[in-house]
Order: sequence, then C-alpha cells, then structure tokens
Amino acid sequence: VLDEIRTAAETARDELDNADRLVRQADEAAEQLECSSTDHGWAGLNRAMGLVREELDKVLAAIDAAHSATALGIGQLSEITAETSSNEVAVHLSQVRDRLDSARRELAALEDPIAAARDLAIQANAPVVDDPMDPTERGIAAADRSLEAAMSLAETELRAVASWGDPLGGGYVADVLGPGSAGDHANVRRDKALELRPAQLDTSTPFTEPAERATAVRLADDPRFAGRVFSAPPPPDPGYDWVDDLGRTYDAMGDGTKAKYLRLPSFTRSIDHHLNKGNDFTVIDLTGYSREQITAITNYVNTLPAEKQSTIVRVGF
Amino acid sequence: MLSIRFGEDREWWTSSSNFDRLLSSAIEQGQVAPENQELRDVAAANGGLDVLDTMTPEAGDRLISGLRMAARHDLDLLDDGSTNLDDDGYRVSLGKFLEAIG
Repeated sequence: VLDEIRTAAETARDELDNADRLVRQADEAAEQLECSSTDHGWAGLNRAMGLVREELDKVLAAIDAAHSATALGIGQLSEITAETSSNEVAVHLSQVRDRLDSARRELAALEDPIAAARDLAIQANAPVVDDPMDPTERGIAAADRSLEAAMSLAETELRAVASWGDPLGGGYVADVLGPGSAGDHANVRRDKALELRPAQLDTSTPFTEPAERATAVRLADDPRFAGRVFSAPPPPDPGYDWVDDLGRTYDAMGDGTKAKYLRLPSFTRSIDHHLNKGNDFTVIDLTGYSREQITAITNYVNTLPAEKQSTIVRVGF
Repeated sequence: MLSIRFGEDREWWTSSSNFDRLLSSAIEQGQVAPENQELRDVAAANGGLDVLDTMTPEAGDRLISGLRMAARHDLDLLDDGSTNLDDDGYRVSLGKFLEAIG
C-alpha cells in the first residue's frame, strides 16, 4: 500500500511539474508582450499583460506550495520501515495525509487566478498566453485526482494500523481517527504525539499573500514548530504576516519566484529592518533563489549577532 | 511584509498586494511611468525596496510624488463608501504610506 501511495503522490508531483512549466511558458509570453507593448505605447495591452502576470504569479506560488507539500509527503513515506512501530507508522501516515491535504487545498485555490488570466488573455487577443491554460488546468485536475487517491490510501492504511493494536499505549491513532474509532484507547502518549504533528495553517484565516502563504506552508515542515497552528491576521495588518497559537508573531521575507531581481545590499538591509521591527520571528525564505544568492545571504546572516540570529528562521537555505 | 524605504528615516511597512495596488494605480493614473512596474518584483525579491538607492534622486522624488498623488486619489475613492476588508486594509496602508513620506 505504501508503494501505491508513493506512486500516486509521485504522479501528482509530475503533473505539477508539467503545470509549472506551462504556466512559466505563459508568463514568459505575457512578459514579452508587456515589454513590446511598452515599446509601442499600447497601454491597454501593457496593462492587461501586467494583470495576467499578477494572476500567473498567484498560480505559480500555489503550484510551488502544492509541489513542496507533495514532495514532503513523499519524503515522509520513506521514514516508514519494517522496524517502525505502529505508533510511529501512524504519525508518519497522518503527516503524509496532512501534507497531501495541504497540497490539495493549494490546488483548490487555483481556479480563480487561472480563469482570470485566461479571460484577460482572451480579451487582449493573446492566444500565446491563453493556449497553455487548458493543458495547465487538465494537469492540475489530474494532480488533484492523484493526490485524492493517495490520501484515500493513506487514510485506509492509517485505520489498518489502528487495528494492529497499540502496545505502547497509543493515543495518536485515536486522536487522528476521532472518538469511537478503533484506536480510541489509552491516550497516554497523546501529548507527545501532538508534538510530532506538523504545524498547520488555519485556513479559515486570510493567508491571501501568495509568497507568505507558501513560506508558511514550508515552515510547517520545520520540526521546531511541530504542533503549532498558524493564523493570518485579518486586514488592516497589525505588522506581521501570521501568528501561532502561542501568540508568537512571524514576519516573512523572500520570494524566490522573483529571484532574478535580487539586489544583495537591498536584501540585507531588509533583513536588518525586519529584525528591528520587534516580531518574534523573521522568516527568511530563500526557496527558488540561486545557489550563489543563497550563499551570499547565508554569509551575511552568519555575521549577525547571536541574539539577532536566534529570531531568524531559515527556510530554503 | 515589505519594508519600503524612501530615505534614512522614512519607511513604509506594507503587504505585497497593497504595494502592488498602489503602484499599479499610480501607473494607471499616469502619475508614475509604466517602466516602474518592475519595482513590485524588485520589492518582492528583496523583502522591500530602497527607493533612493534603486534610482537617481530625481527619479526617486518623481516616484514618491506620483505615489503620493495616487494614494490621495485612492483614499478619496475609498472614502466614498467601500466596505470590503481588502479595501479597509488598503486604506489603512495608504494612511501609513502618507505618514511615512511626510
């Protein structure tokens, strides 16, 4: 069954790779039209392509977040071996299921920006931008079906694990399946199991900024934040991107989809300003930046005083 | 969040979406030249923007002036009765921007 889960998740990941390639193709076409329309003074087309690219940025960020979550789920499967205890298998499977669920939530948010980009491209008579949209949607739908299949298999296997019994006292399986389930007995290790659960985004709160949302999804994989729940504040903004259930505030910076615009002195000054702002954590996300860029930023961060570094959370370094 | 810096002591903290919205609005109104559209990508990539280090002082002054005009224009429109949460956030952010640039 684990092989079947892996195969389904890998199929989803491959579909997301293809969708990402298609959207980047459309984005490049829109960028070219945006530039040429500037040269020709075609303000309407220029504006339309700017808006298309904004929508495509949202699509790329969501695909990236879904891809990351899927890859993490696949990695989590590798943690399960023949020697893994039933409690640990339950923990890993529930994390796989949660990762894949997180990926599906990202994909569910793609419908609107894809439709908006398509409409704008059609109105602007730009088939070179519109044409990749149909295969992108088909690919995302296929990825979603594969993720759904993988989740279903993980859920079934999780229930099977519960039926093995729980020599260590259990609790986690019961916690995952709910009251009255096969695993609902002796929650002796409940607290410990909860600590092992990846952090979650409270999706009832407005994680509306694509880059920050992608960073929060990635941060959820950091075991130091296991068990936490991240909530985004409603507007008007209070000066941070999200807060956890312990009341600690997080401010994110870095958007790898724009890495070609990096200017190191500006980035390092932004780090300084974020650190002086007084939030509990500054999350620096270098996912998508080049190896050389990451090295340069890492070198700068490593020179900061220890008390400053202790408030930095490194993602994608 | 983005740290948009207009000089030594002038800093505007804002979300990417509100910065994009003001910049796009300023371009649409003709207050800021279209080639400045790229600044949204520069700001996103760098966790913010040093306006006066990114361009000549004259161009920086023109940008700030254009953004100021657009912000006042948008505030006037929003004061006419929009009630959605995104507009609320944008309105507050524009207030902080105008306060930051003085």
